[in-house]
This record gives sequence, structure tokens and C-alpha cells, in this order.
Amino acid sequence: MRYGKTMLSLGAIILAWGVATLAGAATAPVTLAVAQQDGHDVVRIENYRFQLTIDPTRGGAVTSYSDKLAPAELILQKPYSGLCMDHFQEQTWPGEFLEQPYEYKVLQQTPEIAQVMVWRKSTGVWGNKVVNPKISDILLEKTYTVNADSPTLTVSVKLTMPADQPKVFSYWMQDVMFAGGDYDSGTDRTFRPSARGVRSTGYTNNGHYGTEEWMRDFNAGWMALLDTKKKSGLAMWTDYNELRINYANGGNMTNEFMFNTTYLPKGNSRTYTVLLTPIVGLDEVLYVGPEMVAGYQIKPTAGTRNGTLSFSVVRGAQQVNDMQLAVSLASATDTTKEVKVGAVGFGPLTDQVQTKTLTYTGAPPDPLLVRVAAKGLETGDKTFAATAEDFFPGAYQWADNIMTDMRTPVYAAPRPPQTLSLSKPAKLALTLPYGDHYLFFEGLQDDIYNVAGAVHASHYEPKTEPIYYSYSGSWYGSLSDFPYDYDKLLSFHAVILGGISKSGLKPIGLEMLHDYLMAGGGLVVLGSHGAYGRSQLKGTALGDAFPVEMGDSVFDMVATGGKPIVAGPDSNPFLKYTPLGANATCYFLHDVKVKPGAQVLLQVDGKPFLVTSEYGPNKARIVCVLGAPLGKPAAGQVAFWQDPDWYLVLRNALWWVGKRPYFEVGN
Amino acid sequence: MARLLQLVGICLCGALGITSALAAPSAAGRAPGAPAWQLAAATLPAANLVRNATVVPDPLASGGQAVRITYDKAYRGTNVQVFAPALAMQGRTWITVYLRGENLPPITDPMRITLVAHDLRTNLSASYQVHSVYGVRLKATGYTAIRVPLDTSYTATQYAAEIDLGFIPETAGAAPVVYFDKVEVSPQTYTAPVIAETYVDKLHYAPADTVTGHLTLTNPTAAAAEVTVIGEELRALTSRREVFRQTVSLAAGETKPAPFTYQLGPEEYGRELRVSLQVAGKEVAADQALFAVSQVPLAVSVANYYDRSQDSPDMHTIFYVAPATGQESWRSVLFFKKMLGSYCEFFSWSPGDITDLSPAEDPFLGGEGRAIFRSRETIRQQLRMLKSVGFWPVSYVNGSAWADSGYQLFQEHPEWFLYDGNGEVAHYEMDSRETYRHRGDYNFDPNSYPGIFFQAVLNHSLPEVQRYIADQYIKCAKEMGFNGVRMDVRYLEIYPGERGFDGKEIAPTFAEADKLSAQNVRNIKAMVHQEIPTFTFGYNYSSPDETKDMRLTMQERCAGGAWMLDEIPATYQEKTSPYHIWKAYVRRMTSWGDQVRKWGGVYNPFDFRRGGSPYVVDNVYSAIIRLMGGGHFACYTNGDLPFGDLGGFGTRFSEYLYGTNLDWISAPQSQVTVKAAAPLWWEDSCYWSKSAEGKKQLIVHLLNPPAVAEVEENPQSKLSPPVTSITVACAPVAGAKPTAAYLLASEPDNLGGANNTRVVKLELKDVGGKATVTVPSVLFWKTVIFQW
Repeated sequence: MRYGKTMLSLGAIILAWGVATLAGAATAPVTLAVAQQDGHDVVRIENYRFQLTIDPTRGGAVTSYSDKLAPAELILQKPYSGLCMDHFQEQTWPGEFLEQPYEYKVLQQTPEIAQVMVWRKSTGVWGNKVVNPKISDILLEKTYTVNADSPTLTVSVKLTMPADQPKVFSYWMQDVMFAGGDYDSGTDRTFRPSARGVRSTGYTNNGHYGTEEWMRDFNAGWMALLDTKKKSGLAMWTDYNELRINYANGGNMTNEFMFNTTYLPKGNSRTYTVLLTPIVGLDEVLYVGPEMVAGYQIKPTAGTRNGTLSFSVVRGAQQVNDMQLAVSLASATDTTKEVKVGAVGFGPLTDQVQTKTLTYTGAPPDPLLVRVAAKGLETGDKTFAATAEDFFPGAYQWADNIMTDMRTPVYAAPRPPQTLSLSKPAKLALTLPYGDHYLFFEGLQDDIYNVAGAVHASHYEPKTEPIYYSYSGSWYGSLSDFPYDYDKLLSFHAVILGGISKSGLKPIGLEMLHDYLMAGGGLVVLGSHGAYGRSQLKGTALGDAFPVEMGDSVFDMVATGGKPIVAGPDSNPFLKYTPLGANATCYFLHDVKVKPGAQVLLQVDGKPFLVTSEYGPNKARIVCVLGAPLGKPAAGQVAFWQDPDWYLVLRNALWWVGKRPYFEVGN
Repeated sequence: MARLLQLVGICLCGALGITSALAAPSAAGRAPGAPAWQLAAATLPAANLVRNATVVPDPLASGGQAVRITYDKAYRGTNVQVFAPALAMQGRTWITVYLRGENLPPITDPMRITLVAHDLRTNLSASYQVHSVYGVRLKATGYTAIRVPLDTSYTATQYAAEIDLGFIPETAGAAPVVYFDKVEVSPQTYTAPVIAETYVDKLHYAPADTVTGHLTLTNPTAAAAEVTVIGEELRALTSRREVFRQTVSLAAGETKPAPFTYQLGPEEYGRELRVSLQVAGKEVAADQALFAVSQVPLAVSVANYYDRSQDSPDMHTIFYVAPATGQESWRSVLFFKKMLGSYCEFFSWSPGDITDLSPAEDPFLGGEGRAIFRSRETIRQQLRMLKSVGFWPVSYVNGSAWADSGYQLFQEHPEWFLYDGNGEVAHYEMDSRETYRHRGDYNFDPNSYPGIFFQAVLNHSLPEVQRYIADQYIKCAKEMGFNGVRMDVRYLEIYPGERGFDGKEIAPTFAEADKLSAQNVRNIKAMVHQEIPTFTFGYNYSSPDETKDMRLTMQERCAGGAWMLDEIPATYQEKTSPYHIWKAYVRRMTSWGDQVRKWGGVYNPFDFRRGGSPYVVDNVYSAIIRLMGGGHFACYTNGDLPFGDLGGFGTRFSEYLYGTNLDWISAPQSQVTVKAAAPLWWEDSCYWSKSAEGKKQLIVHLLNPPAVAEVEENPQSKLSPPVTSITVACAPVAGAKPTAAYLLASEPDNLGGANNTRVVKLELKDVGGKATVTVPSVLFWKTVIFQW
């Protein structure tokens, strides 16, 4: 499903709750009580729709949540179960927060609203008992808000950096619950919006993609866990721009928001807001927003292109008094073939499900896209608009959004770009200190390159800051550090980019490194296992700045069979006096196309090995090494990275991209 | 060890000790000792009532008063101390403590009796022994004489006995009370020589091997004696043959070794070597040793675990992580030998696992993500020790390429590895790599290296990779000394979605992946067996769910006696599992255990939560059910609880648990009928079999169901009452009725009795055309075998 919506001010939503009422009925006041449980304080909050317990001793989590309408207790009464459990992605589960004691305070307690805050300061210590300084001393303040007249629990998590240190962290909120009050591996389903449509996953009964635990192609900020037999569950919503991964353990055992890696200067704060809305009456979930949760069912008439579409909606945090859904069906293989089905209107949305049905005729052949545009009027005459889209396989042969190659989706909608919060300087300009300062992103096997030799030979006060790349099949790429401070980034003479990926750099790193080039910074790109194709930098501003065009496949490395490196058609002073030995051999090479205007200085078997160019308004210099330090030399061969002059080639490349004047005077 | 011989079968007093090596002194041939000292507990000085113990009136006590000991969940230690005066002791002295209990849980929260023999000349403890008394042995309405042995030297010496009583609190909410009436100390007087020690050199042999054994004979009497030593081998249900006989002369007070050897027959499965001592044609002492015999090395391996009635030392780390001296290693080898199981796995020792199974570095940084320095030479020494007593040591192998060796192999041969859809290998961390590079520094801190810096999976479908892996396994055996491997994480398979260096999916469907993976396993086994025919393989991931898409591979993995670890049962206590219902658990274990065995595998299902449930009763039933289903593992053990010596039972009667002729019966109701006044489970645990002599057999395991239907719902470990007077009827097969029936058991016939591994011939009656036998009782588990 593709979903783009008119963003609402969350603050306005929360304020609006004060005056909203459950349509047609006065609601009971919200109550809050501090009670004793197992010898310690817990906070119990109840409104007309749900009753919950916040246990400060258990990670400040919601350890009991009873939906009165379902009716069902969603949380297993055991450790490690609950809602709104805190983690940092830098720590493996269970991490330093789970089941740990928090402080707590009741912030508000009136008939209309109950508000409780729990808090704890991070230590950064987990697993190996070593302090991770990037996530230590961060104050985590979690505020729960319950309104008398809303079914939604609002959770705000504010992370405040210490007054004297900036931090880089990746927050993660985990809900471990049983939709409907019990667990069923096949019929408890997690629904998540993705570029491939709304994905419904369980522990069993899944399609080609399996449990899809780590969903990265989400295209809206929500997920919902539904007991599809009892038609009840819980939906979570948050700001799409903040999300990194929409995670569901085992497909349906947990619902978890993993947020983007964030750099914050000392003393700054970042707040994540999550809305949790109980659902009753839906078969499946098409859309979750602050104003509603919607589902649908499509029933084609056998042997025809006709059928019915039923839409069901329940209210969300915001009160919607009038709403229209406009519906169309499009071909998933040719989206220009679209049939407008019609529109349905709903009166005030309530906790009780409302269902309306449309009849369609002449739909395109399966598979289909179900497209929905919603417009509504909220309390206070505010309007909202949203769109949703799902993939319906119908009679399509693979019964899922997958082509016969079992790799490519039939349909993948473009994901809306996430808006990042960065504080860029007014003018991007390098501020270079004395000496040679390098930033080295070290990926897999990049230690083979002898970068140390190159930088040691570059200056009598060389300085290199290493940033190490890690990759895990579940978490993808990550970096040990990043100079999120622009002043620092713009102080390097050159950046050496080893085999690191887009997922490791993350949107912030990609944008900042590109800004570095725009400021005129120097870049040496090393070929290696994780470089070029596998880096998936193609299509990013950073990757598109390279003098070579990367292929579409991540498998872009070809075996040369052990061929010598020879001079290319172009020349550059930095190679003039440091040729590699005649036996310098390359075994594996990235398969790329040289862009017009770029210079090929070295090549292997007619393919580029070393390519240079300039980029951007300040003529940033870039050197791309296309060979990889992989392979086993045969007798009589010298691997290029073992050639006695290799480190000098690399050193000279650093000098050249750093615009050192040595070559200009013939050194 | 004291043993009363039965007319048929054997007797192992599991409640009082161990069965083979380091067996305790034989008791036969000595006069029953009358109490040489006794004390009414109520007369103990106040200082000896250490904690939670007071003198109270008790009309049931012999003197009208007793010491009342109450339970404190927060206190684990001595409640009452008794110090006897110095007495002449020789060999075994019996200590009898008279106790009664109120509100005692049946099999938890024991009263621990600690016995110490103080040598007053040296002020040292000459002997220290521990026994546990559980609720099943005590009554509220009267005192029970609890008789426990205190063993000292056979040279008569003055020792002062210390008897300490103390609760071992285990269960939340329990409030038991024990009343202590009196204690008696009864030294023995010997009238004939005894067997001080019996053991055979190994715990596992191949058929037709030569058994070398050792006896130590002692003559504690004042007169010289000539004794005849007779060794008999007991096998299967009725087989008994004399295997050696010798005459030994012993001077008064003399101790003399009497080594022996004999050759095994061609039959497989468990043996008991029974040794008796005769004087003038009359048996005066007996002892025994158990061992296993099989062609496939691990096919009959089963072990006991640490005895929970004792304060067991944690010795397994000797072979796991800790540096050890040669003496420590040998002590551990002997300790584990007593537990019987021959399977011994060195977990996660290698610095790179499948790419480094004979490390060049020494010491090296091993450990799966735990970074522990290990010594190659120490491991090689420990392996030699283990093999010398019949262990079959195998190397754990994480089937992925790790750390430096994996990293270097990847650098040389990236085309040998598997890639995911992103073109990536499983995992790497270059910052950890940087740390790892400094491992040779004298001040390197292993804790600074928290994880494995590189992990990738080899493309097992490539012939050159198969050759590489086979060579690693061959080096692991020839250079290190392991007898086999047990793979984890990966088992030479390929999954759909995995790609080669060119990015192409190697096996896009499970059907293709299964076929290819089975071939990978077959090829590598063949390459290794060409060099080392006895090399064994083992694998994780052998549950039905884990293998449903890879059945051909599962069968190929099992073939030839592979150790098949099934970790999934470790989660069966969860309410989300259908097998947290005991009845379903039984059928799961028996049906799948049968399947794995028929494929040639040696099935090793994990216990709940890996290390067992928090509740004792769940651990007892889990062990029984998994063993009954043909599982090979270290059984839950408690020598003072009446559920049998499971490791000893499994070793002696392995033919009826692991035999290759076994055939599980899915619906036995038309063949077998079981009647009892209370429920008894048997429908999911019946097997056809055939004896070594070709006789048809029907095996019916009778299980007294757990008191609570679900796992981990019985925190007090309550028991179902014993089921008594059970009739088991067997229908004729093709008109032929069974000609004999036998009862196999290790548990006693009543809850107060001692464990006793035995085979008893049952009287066979014809009732309505069916062969019918009566089983006196089932406390937990007994087995009936009908034979044609």
C-alpha cells in the first residue's frame, strides 16, 4: 500500500482531545490511581475504553492493557511483556532499559485527562559491560497521556542529551502483546504499510516474503496487530519521518518501531510520539492515522471483473465527524489502467466499527491496486486528507506481490522521502587545520589496503580518524561513529570511503558527505567487498557524484582471472612518478561505466581500475579505485595491494584530492 | 556397595551411590551391626540446635519429646548438629536417623543429612557424605528410620561421627516441619573379605572388544582367606554368562588388586558386569559395573547429570572454558565417567570453527563470542584422556566461517561464500576486527572483544568448498584428536534465497535446496569417511518443524548414527506451544524419536528452557519421557528420589530404548490393553521389536501421568499417587501368543523404597485369549516386555 497524507499537527490533535466527545454519548471521567503491586507502586489509569497499568519497576512500561470493548487483556502477565518498552538499537535485546526500575511522577490528574511520566538515565552499558559513550547519560522521559473521551493512549518519549556532550542514538520502542488476549501463530496478524502494499504477516501462513520481521520498505508510520478471528487488536502510529525499521518479531509476536539514528548536540532533546489505538471489528487493516483506523475487504464475483469492496472504519485519537472515501482499482502491472469505483461517506467515527460497501465493474485484470483517498472533517472544522493503497493479488499466479523470479515485486510504489532534521551551516566551506587530517570509513577487507602506509607517508603530523563499518543481516549496515558536527566534517583534508553502504551511512550521513563534496572536500573511494554495487549508493547524491556509474546489481564484482594493472588512456601528475610494478595484479574488479569527462588512469584488461574527476561548485576531487583487495596470487604474481609502491599511489591520491600543491610544482 | 541380589536380574541401589567406577565397599558377608551409640534428640545441648530447631513434646517420639525443625525459605544451612563420641569404625558404618515430617513437599525441599567422620588423631575429616530425605519417605503420623551409610577405611580406626541436619529450601510458599526423635551409630564387623572397588576401563566398547577391568579386594578380618572371584556378564532380558573366574589369597588386613580381562560377544547394547566373591562356595560379597556396547559409537549413549541429592561440584567447565592442569582434567574425566554417557562435546572452542579446526596459534582466542584464550595442547591432552576411558569426544562446529581464519579465507576466495539478496555475508564488524588484531599483546583484555568480527557462510554446493570442509574435519580428527563434529548454525545446507558470488540464487525452491543440501552432506561425509571411517557427524536443527522443508537432507544427516540435537523442545513449556500439555509432549517425543532413529540418527532433544524447568517434577517427567522416546542426553538425576537411576537404566537396557529393531506403534489399542484403577499413559509409548536372537517383542512403557496436565503448572511438584495392580494384556499375533513377559524398572515399587534397576520375569496368564501380566505398581515409569 502506498500512503501519503496531509500531515497534521500532533500538538493540535492532543489539544483537540480536550473538547472531543465520543459521538452521541457522554463519557466517564478518566481515573488514575497509584496502587501497590508486589510491594511497589504501579499506576493504574482507566477511561471508558481501556484500563492500563504502568509499572515503573518494569522499565516504566505498560504491563497491563485491557480493552473493554474487545474485551481482552492484551499483555501476558510475565516479564518482557508489555507496551512501550524502551531500547536503543545500539544495544541488542533486552538492552539496558527493559525490566529496569524507572522514576515516575503523576503530571496531571483531572476528570478529562491523566498524565504520567516515567524516566531513567541511560548508562550506555550492556552486554560486554563496556560503556558505549554515544548513548550514555541520555535522559529518557516517557509521558503517557490518557483522555477521558479518546480510545487512544498517547506516549511521548523525550530523549535529552547531557549538558556537556553530544550523542548519537537510535531509539526503539517495543510492544509485546497478544491481540485478542491470546496468541495464535497463524491468525494473529501484523499489518504494515509497505511499498509492496499492506503486508499481513503471522508466524505462519505467510506468502513468499515469510515473516518479514525487519520491514524496511515501509511507507507510512504505522503498524497494527490484529487477532483476525476475534477481530480485535491494537494499532500504533508515529511520525513516518522518524522511522528506520517497522519490526515484528516472528511476524506477529511483537510490534516495534525502530527510529532513525539521530545526532543531537549537547543539551538538546528529541521527542518521539506514538499513538496506540485499540481496534475492534476490523478483518484487516488498510490505514492507521491519528484520526482513524480503516480496513477493507474485496470480494470479486467469480468469472467476472466485477465485485464488491467493503470499507470499515473506527475512530482514532482525533474525532472525525464526517468522512468520505474515494476508491479506485488499478492494474498493478500497468497503473495507467485505473477504474474509479466510487465514494462512500461515513458519519461521526466511533469506537464501534462502521462498514460501507461499494460495487465495482470492469476492473483491470489481477493483480490489482486498491487505491483510497480519504477526506474528513474533524472536530473544530479542521480538515484532513489521506491516501492508502494495497496490492490485491486476486487470481494472480503467485498469490503475492512477487514476480516469477521470486525476487522482484510486481508492483513497488515509490516511498515518500523522509524529511530529516539537520542544522546545516549557512555556507558549506572547508576549514582545514594544520597537518593532514583524514577520515577513513573502513569496510570489510579495507584493512588490506595499507591505508596506514599512505597516511603515515603523507605528512609528519598525519592524523586519521577511523570509522568502522559493521553489517548484520538483520540490522544491515552501521557505523562505529560519524562526524555529525558539520564543523568537524568540513575540517578533513580528504575522506577515504571504504566498502560501506547506504544503510550504514543512513540518510543523514549520505547528505552530510555530499555536502562535504559540495564544499570542495576530497574523496578517495576504495573498491572492496562492500563498495560500489553493494554500497547501494547508486541513486544517492553521494553515489551519483562518483566519476563512474555503478550498475544496478549489488553483485557487481567480476573475477579477472588475475590480470596485470596497466596504464589507462588518461594521465594525472599524482601517478607520474609512482607507477605500480609490472606484476601488480588485480583479481576482482567492480564492473562500472566511466562517466563522460572522467579520467581513467589505470585499467585491467580494458576495464577501469582507477578513475578520477572533479565534482560540484567547489571542484571536489574524487578518485575511485575499482579493484578490490581480494584473491590469492598465483606463483610469480604480486597482488596490487602488496606491490611495494601501492601505498605511495594511495598517498598521492590523498594528496591530490586534498588539493595539496605538491603535484602542481612537479613534486 | 551393598546389594541384595534378586532371583532374576540385577540390583542397583541408586539411592545410595554410583554403579561402576569408584563403587563403594561391598557389604555382604559382615554381621549386622547393633547400635554402638545412640542419642535422643531432645537431650541435645542448646548449642547444637543451631537454627529453627527447638525441643517440643511429641507423644510419637520414643521419649515423648523431639526436636522440631522448621523451614525458613531464606536459610540454607545446618539446623541441628549431633556429635557422636569416637568409635572404632571399619568400612561402612550405618547412621540411622528417626524422622517424621509435616507438610513436606514430596520431592522438593529435602532435609539434608550431612555425615562427617572426624579423625580425632589428626583433627581432619576422614569422610564426608551427604544424603537427602524427601517428603515421599516420611510420614506425619509416625517416625521413619532413615538409614544412611558413612564409609571409612577398612582399617579399624577411631572416628567421631558428626551428623548434621538442615533443610534445603527450594519452593516458595512451602512450610514443612521435621521432627527429629533420635540417632543411632552402628559400626560394622566384617567376617569375610569384601570388594573395595570394581570398574571396567571404558564406559563404551564396540562388539567383540576386549574389556579390561579392575577389582580391589580387601580382607578386613583378622584371619587369612582364600576367595574365588567370579565375573558374570548380564545382557538383554535373560542372557547371563561367566566371563572370568580366579582364586585369590588374602592375608589378614591385606588389600590386593585383581585385574581381569575378557572378550565381548558380537551383541550390541547394555551390559552389566556382575562380580561376586565366594568363600568356600558361598557368596560373601558382590559388586557390579555398567557399560555400553555398540557398533555405531553414539547409538547407545545416555548419561546421568549431576546428582541433585548432593552438593555437586560444577566440573564441566574443565572441558569448556577454563585452563586446567593435567590432574584436574583427569579428575574430571573420572567424575564424568561415573555419569555413564559416552558423548562428550567440546563446545565452541575453536578460534574460527569450520575454517579453523586445528588452530595454528597456541594459545588461541576461542569461544563463540566470548573471547576466551584456550590451549591447543591442553585440549589435545584432555581428548586423549577422555578417549582412554571410552568417551567419544566431538568438536562443536559453528558451521559458519569465523574470525581471522574465515576472514582470510574470504579475502582469498570470496567466490566460495554465500550471499544474501543485498550481496552481503552474514555479519562483520570492522571495529571488532581492529580490536582482534591486538589479541597477541600481553595486555590484551578478552572482554574488550565482545563479539565475532566476521561471520560468513561457505557455499557448500561447490566441490572445492566441500573438499575444504572435509579437510578441516580430517585435520580436526588427525591433528587435534576429536572423533567427530557436531554442527550448529549451519549444517552444510543451502536455502532458497541464498546466492553465489555471481548473485544467482543457487536453489530457488525448497525442493531444489533440499536435494542439493542432501548431496552436500553426502559428499562431505564420504570424503571424510574415506580417510577416517569412524568419524561421526552431528547437527543441530532436527525438530519436525525445522526440517519439514528439508526432509531429504534430514534423512541424509541422520544416516550413519549422527547426533541429532533438537533444541526446539526447550520452548515447549511456553503456553504458545501445543506441547506444554504433557500428553501431547509424550506423543511428540515418542513419535519423532522413532522417526529420527529409523533414519539412522541419534536423537538428542533438549530439556525445557535448555537447563530444565524451575520445578523438579517437570524435570523428572521431561527426562523420563524423552528417554522413553529414545532420547540421548544427560538425565535429570537424584539418587534419593524414587524415579529411578535413569542413566543407569538407559545404559543397561539400551536395547529397549535405542534398538535398531524398535518400531513405534502409532495406535496400539488393538494389540495392548492396560487396566488400572487410576489413569496410566501407555497408548503413545508402545513399540515392536526383535531380540538379538530374533524373538519378536512388544514393549509397553507405562507412565503414571503427571499430577497436573500442563508443564510448569505444578510449583509444589505434587505427585500422582502410585498406580497399583495394573494388568497389561497382549493380543496374539498371527495366532501366536507371547511366551514370556518381563518387567524393566529402575524405580522402586513404593515411594519409600530405593531405586533398583532390574529385570523381573512376570507371570504370564491367559485371560480371554490374551497374554496378561500384573504389574504391582507404577510410581513414575515401568516397562513391560512381551516376548514370543
